[in-house]
Amino acid sequence: MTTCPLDDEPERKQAIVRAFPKLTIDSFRITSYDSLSDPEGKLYNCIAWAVGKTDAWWWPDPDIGDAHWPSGVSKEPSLASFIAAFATEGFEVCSDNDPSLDPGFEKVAIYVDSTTKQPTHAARQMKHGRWSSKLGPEEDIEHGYDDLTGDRESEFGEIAVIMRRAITPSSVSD
Amino acid sequence: MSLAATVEIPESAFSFVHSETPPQDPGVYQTLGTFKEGFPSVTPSLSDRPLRRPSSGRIARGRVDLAQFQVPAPVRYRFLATRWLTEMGRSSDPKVLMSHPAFQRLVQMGPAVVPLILRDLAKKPSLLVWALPRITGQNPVPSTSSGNIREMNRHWLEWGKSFSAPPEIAR
Repeated sequence: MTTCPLDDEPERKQAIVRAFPKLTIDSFRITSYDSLSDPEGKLYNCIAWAVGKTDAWWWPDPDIGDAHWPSGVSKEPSLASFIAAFATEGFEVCSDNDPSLDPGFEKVAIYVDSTTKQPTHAARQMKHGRWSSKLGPEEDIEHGYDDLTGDRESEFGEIAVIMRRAITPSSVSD
Repeated sequence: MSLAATVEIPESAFSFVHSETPPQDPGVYQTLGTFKEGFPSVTPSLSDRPLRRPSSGRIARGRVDLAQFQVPAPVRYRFLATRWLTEMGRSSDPKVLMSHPAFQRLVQMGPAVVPLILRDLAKKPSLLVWALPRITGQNPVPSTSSGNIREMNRHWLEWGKSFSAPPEIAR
C-alpha cells in the first residue's frame, strides 16, 4: 500500500480530527495529495471522487457554471437530484441502505444536512470495505463508514442513502 | 464577523506602521489587534506600540490594519487569496466555499484584482477562477467546461489577453 507523505504530517491529521471528532489520528489515513498543490491542476470534490472522476468539480449549480452537473438532471440541491446524478453514472439506490461490502458492486453513501436534508457530501466504498472521501478541495482520506457524520458545522450530517453499481473494468481502483 | 489571524507583512509595508524599536526579544512577536470583517483592525493603542521584527530576515509578523494604511492592491490580494485558499474548509458546495469573508472581500476589490488572479492562474489552475465571473460580469467558459477547473482556467486566461486593467492596479 502506497503511503501518502501527508499521512505523516501530525498537524494536518490533527486538523482533520478537529473537523471530524469521530476520527482519531489512527482511525483514518490520508490517501492523496491536496489537490491545490497538484501540479496537473486536477481540482475535484467529493461528488466527483465518489463517481470516480477527478477532472471536474461536481455540484448542482444553477447560476454561473462553477461546477459540472450531468445534463438533464435537476440543479436543485436536493437528495433527489443527487440520486439522479449518480444514476447517470450507473448507480442505483440500495433499498436496504446496507453499507456492507457487496461482491461485484461498488457503493457510495450520500450525506445530507440533518436539518435541511440537503446533500453535503458523498463517500465511496473501497474494495476492502472502508470508505474514501474527498474533503472538499483538500485531502482524500480513507475512513470508517460513520466517521464523517455529525451535526457540527464541519461535519457532513447524516447518511441518507446508499447507492451501488456493478464493478466494471473502468471502476475506480483503490 | 470577527476573524483572528496572524499576517506576514513584507518589509515594504512597514512604512505604514507608526514606529519601530530594536527587538528586545527577537523571537517574540507582538499582537497588535484583531481582524474585523476579513481585515485586521488596529487597537487604539497601536500607535504607542512599535512593531517588532526578528533580528534576522526581512519579514516580521504582526496584525495591522490593512484598510487603514491603504496597503497596495497586490498585498491585499495576496493576503485575501492565501487566506481563502487555506481557510476555505472542506465543503464541496461552491457557494459554501465562496461565502468565506476573504473570498467576498477579494471579489469586492473589483477589476483591479483581475490581472492578479490571472497571473496566479497562469502559474497553475485554481479555484480562484470562481471569482472572475463575479468580478467581471462576464463568463467565457462554455457550459461543456463547467466544473473542469483546468479548462475554466484556460478559457479565462484566453479572455484575459484582451482585458484592460484599471489604471490603479497590480504591479
